[in-house]
Amino acid sequence: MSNHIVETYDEDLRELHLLIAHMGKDVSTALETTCNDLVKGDKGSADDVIEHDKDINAQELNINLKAQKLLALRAPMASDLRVVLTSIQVAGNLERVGDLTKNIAKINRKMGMSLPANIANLVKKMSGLATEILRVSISAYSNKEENQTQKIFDDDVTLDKQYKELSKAILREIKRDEDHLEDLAHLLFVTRHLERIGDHAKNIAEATIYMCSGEMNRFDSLEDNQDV
Amino acid sequence: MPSTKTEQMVMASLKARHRKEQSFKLLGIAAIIMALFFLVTLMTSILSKGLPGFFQYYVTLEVELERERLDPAGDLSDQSLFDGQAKKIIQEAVLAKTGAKKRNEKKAARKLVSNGSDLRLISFVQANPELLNSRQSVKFALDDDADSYFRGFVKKQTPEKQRRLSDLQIAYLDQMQADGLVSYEISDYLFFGSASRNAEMAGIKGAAIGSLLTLVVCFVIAFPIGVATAVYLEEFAPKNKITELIEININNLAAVPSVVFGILGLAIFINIFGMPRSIPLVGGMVLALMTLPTIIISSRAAIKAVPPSIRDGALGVGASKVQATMHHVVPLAIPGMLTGTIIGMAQALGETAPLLMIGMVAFIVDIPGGVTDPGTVLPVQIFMWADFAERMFIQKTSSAIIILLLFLIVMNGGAIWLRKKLERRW
Amino acid sequence: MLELGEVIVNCADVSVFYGDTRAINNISIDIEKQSITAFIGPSGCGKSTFLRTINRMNDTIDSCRIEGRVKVDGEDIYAPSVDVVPLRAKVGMVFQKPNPFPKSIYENVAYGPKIHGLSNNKNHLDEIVEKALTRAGLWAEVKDRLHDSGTGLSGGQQQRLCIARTIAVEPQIILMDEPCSALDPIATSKIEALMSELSAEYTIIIVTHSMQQAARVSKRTAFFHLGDLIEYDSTDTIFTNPKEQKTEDYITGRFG
Repeated sequence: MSNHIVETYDEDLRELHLLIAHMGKDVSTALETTCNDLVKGDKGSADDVIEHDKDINAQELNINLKAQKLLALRAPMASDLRVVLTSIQVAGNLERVGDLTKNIAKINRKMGMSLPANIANLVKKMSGLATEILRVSISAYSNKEENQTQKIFDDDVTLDKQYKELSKAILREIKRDEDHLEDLAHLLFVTRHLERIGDHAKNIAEATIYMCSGEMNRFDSLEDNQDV
Repeated sequence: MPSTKTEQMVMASLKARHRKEQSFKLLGIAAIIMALFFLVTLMTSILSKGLPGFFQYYVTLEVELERERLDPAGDLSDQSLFDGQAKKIIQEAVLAKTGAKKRNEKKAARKLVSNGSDLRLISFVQANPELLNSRQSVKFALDDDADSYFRGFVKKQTPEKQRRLSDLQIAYLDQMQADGLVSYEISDYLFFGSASRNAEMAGIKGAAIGSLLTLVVCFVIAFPIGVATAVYLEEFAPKNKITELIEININNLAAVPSVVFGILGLAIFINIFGMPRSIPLVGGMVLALMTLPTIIISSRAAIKAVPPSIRDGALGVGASKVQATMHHVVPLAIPGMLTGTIIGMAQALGETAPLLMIGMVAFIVDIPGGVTDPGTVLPVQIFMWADFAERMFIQKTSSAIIILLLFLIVMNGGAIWLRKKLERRW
Repeated sequence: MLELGEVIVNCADVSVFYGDTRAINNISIDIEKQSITAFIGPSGCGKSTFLRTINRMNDTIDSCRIEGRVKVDGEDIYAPSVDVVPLRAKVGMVFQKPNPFPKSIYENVAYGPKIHGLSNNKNHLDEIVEKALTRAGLWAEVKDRLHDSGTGLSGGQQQRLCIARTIAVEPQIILMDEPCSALDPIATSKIEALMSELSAEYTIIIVTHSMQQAARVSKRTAFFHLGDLIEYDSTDTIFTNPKEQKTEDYITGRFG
């Protein structure tokens, strides 16, 4: 795609792009750190992550403002319009991911027990996949690559399967070990959060498709198809 | 303070630029002053020679209006009055006033009053028949030599043999003046008299009417043809080599010396068609030929000046080409066309050469009644008068020039007024 | 999606030449009845030339030649038997610079009906004039000064007067060649509102330099470039997700 005749228009769009890339990176990093620490039982990063969420919220607002300005002043059309609209959607999804990560960090901080081995493995696997899906969706959006999105939808289906598996494992553990009921209940929340993060990554992928080709679609998740 | 480099460069060149502008301005002012000087000199010369020509010297005589002598047939008809003794009665009045007795004295005295005074008396009687058979004071024009004396052109100092007036005549004139009988008034002859060999009787009436008739003929022929040609060429004619050729030819015709049109008129109208010479009809036709290119060119310019948006608007609403042209373009172009025509007419008014070629130079005394009566035009009249030696003719020539210039100014002024009045904004 | 309703103008393989230069290359397009269609494109792309083929205004240019077929309401308008004069009553035109005749407002509107013989008495003519001025949204402003000069109105009013003049001869189609480019934004908005109302009865084709205007008023948009028809689709599609790269580049301001 060639440049706009008015160069400052290109600069504005580039700035928006950088803001999203930066926010995406912050959110990805926070998620990865928090999940790793949870599995290891390390509470060191928790406070920082919780504090840093404020900054992530501010980034979302900033992106919204930038997009508003572009809409009002540039009257973007066609592909430019889709870029601006999706930037708002993506920023919203990233902000939710940030909140969910904050919640996981809070749970990490409160966690009294150390995770049983099997659960720890499953959490590691699931959080690793969720982090990966998020990272790929952000990359696909930033690079405007539609072809990466199919993997995201497939991985999200896998993530949903892992969510079911992990939930079952935690419920079994609760039956076996009633003393750590609270912690295990919190872990259930963590699995829920990770599953939600996968959904948000999927939303980002759908936004990427819309931005590239103008097609609006929602991809059904495994849940909807299986009446679970 | 000049801050940037560019500003400094501009400031540096400023002085030279101002100097250039100053010298250009001065040049312009000098040119204007010179032009004004020439104009003032010309006007002064014309006015100083011509204004006196508007006046003449008259003498008031007491005449016996004896009915039987003046009007033998008793019916106040022209024939009867011509047969009467108007001339003799006037001469008797002159002799009485001057006291001339001897034969040579009488002869001298009679020459002092204008030859045409009898006509003046006859008109007076016809206008006031109730005054017959009484003694009346009537004004008569002095003969041109006497008139020249009073203006100071015939001087007492010159030896008698070289003068046009004898010492005796001068004595009589001085006597009349001393008696308060001589007056200096606006010359009615100038305006109402026609061509005459007698300078004091000469007037422009015939020539003016001849000019008017000629111009009317010229307008009636040239305006419709010129306007229609311009409309056709500009709006309807296809743009090809032939129309280009026509356009070039019309433009060139505007620059052709006017005498050539005279020769054309002579060859075609007079020789081939056998029309009579010296009539306003032929003169008008020749002038029409001459004026046509001017009218066509200015009309075309007026039509071109109508913006295409007007035509588009008319065509867009479904007008045909003819309707769009006649309902919209031509009405908007009329002011320009009229202005161009009037200027062309003003030019034609002052033309002499072509009319000389077709013979409008004859000495015409009768005022033309219509376009087929022989006549002459004002510039030709001026041209003829310029030939005559009498002093009064010189003055009357200048006076006629002033009158001609006034007509031209009025016509051009009319063109300007018309243009201002009809100017439309679109 | 394009999905045309009843078609009133059908152009097939139309090419327009100025002398030897080809200005329009083989364009085929159908215009839907009683809707607004916009022609957009950079300067010199031929959109005005193409517009003028629909009412044969290009006939006034000597060197202009046309190939292909243009049908208006089922009739081939370039057939030898066709008289241009009634065609132009059927297909009216409003121009870029408002060009009311230098006559009274009344005379401006009455001229068309008079020459086409639409009215034989003064009362009827008065009615026609009033109706046209009302439809053009101008009646209230000028009803007390119908005999004032048309050129004394403001720019926006003059353009509405030109629209009234066009409507007075009861056209089916109104062609508008950049009708608002000489007007201020408020006058432009009034004309755009007027166009919306008029499109219920008339078919309107508008050539415009302003993409925002095309986006606001038209139901379908055709994008022209260097004499070619690049894309023709619903306005919605053209401005959110055009199919051709050239179209996308033009409307996003990536080339002029």
